[in-house]
Amino acid sequence: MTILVICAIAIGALAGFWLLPQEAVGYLDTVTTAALCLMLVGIGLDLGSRRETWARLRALGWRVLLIPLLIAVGSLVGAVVGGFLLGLPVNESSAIGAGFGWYSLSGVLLAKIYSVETGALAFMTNVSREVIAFVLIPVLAVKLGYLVAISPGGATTMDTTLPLISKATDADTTIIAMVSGTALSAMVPLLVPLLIRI
Amino acid sequence: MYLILLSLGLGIAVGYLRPLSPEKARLANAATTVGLFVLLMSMGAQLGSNEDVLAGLGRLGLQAVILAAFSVLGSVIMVYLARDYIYRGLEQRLSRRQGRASR
Repeated sequence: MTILVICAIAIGALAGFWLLPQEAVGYLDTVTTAALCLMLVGIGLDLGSRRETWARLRALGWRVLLIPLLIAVGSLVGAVVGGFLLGLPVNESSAIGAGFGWYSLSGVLLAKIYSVETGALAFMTNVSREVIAFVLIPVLAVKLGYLVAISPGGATTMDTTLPLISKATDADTTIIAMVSGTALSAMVPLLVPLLIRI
Repeated sequence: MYLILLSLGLGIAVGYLRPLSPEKARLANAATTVGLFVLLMSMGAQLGSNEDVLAGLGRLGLQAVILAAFSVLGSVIMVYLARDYIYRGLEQRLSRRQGRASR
């Protein structure tokens, strides 16, 4: 999947560099808006039909929601602090941080509704987050406990980093990671467009 | 903006009220993938036709690593600080559910 994502961007970049006719640019906006809606309906369908995950959330009690909430707050504050050091405006750094590791969605959202430069930065930031998560999860599980090991993955603990979490921690933590990743994934398409508009 | 929230809300509502059958879930997944790839290619095309951004990709890469590291650090600190409080709340439920004492 990662390779396909990179290929898609590369094909687009080559087309944009060499052969994109000027007349196509007008159509492009309509096409990408339609694609955005299609993708978001699909993401919504996926999130909404995860009844089992939402049922587990109820079984675990609402305190478990503190975990994605704290991960979200930590990510946003961290990104704003990092952005401050880099001289980025708060709306950009916070919206990029609100990708929570979901690089494809945060990248294309920002490229579409804000600027391609911020989209590219969001894409690379959230790819980096996923890579950092892969490295840190096993270390954190041993050093700081299973619950802390969930935190670097952000939204990716619903899918891509879940197998690693299940290996590095126990069954309870894996379920908590899935609930947390699902809750964070649901926040990405809401928070990114909201924060970029502050 | 409204379009984003509307599309997402519509998807969630339909998905929650009528959970998808496996074939329909595959269809929805395919739709998401098609939409994503159109957007990725469009992002690529915008990148490719913007020489300022292309020239700045190295700088963006460094910024990306810094932003990611700070986001991860923030998340780790927050969860670490609340760890014991969260475990106290979960302990009963986890042990009841699995019929054993949890960590």
